[in-house]
Amino acid sequence: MARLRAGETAAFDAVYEEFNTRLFTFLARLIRNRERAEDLLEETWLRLVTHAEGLRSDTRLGPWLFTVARNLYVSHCRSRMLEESYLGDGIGLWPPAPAASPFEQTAASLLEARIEGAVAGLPPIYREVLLLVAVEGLEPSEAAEICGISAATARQRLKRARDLLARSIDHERTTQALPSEVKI
Amino acid sequence: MTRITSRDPVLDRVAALPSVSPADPTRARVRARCHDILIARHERQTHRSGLAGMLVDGVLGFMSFLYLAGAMVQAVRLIAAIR
Repeated sequence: MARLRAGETAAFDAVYEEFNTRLFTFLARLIRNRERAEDLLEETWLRLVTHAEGLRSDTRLGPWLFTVARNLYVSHCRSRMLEESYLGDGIGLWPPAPAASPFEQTAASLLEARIEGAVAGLPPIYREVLLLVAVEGLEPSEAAEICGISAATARQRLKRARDLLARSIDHERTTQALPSEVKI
Repeated sequence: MTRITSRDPVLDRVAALPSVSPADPTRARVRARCHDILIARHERQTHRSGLAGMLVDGVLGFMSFLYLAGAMVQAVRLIAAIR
């Protein structure tokens, strides 16, 4: 941390290697668009290098980076919302999900694709907590800090995400099994 | 960090999903951009500390000069008083 605050590029590289793919995966699953995820990722790193000097020595970089990335995502959603309301489209609080995320397109197995689809179909407020806890291995309290909510709310959202996901996977499994059942 | 997902098969499946990386040119471009910012800041700091050093040296030199000049004046006055 001290080396990063001093502006050492080697220290930056170490942080970059550790978090770049993780941040990109998080952002891409939130925003479901590769190019936009890359833009937000770049902005996240630029925020780090411009704010590194002012960071406290006990700052935990992982949560800090995920907080910045998540806030940038929310700002992006808000700006898109304004843009779309200006254009006269009917919209909700969050942007509508596109047809297929980069993950769904490249999912190796059917089950993987099904889970990717189910994750992508979750409301973003549930998806962000799920990704932080299940994929990043954070505690719900840490995810809560990143999302700016209470730990109880994070746990509630995680449970709701988990239930929706299980239901969605089961539903898809049932609907996909139906044609073969009809044949028999 | 403790993975609470190990107790839940649904969350375990999410945890097992593959990660993705940004395109290589993007990675290289972002890294280079961040390096440029860090290097520029470091150079600015070095330059600033150089200027600050010169300023401190100048002030100290000037104060030493005043002290020595004062001491000389006092010495001359003393000698004149004795005579």
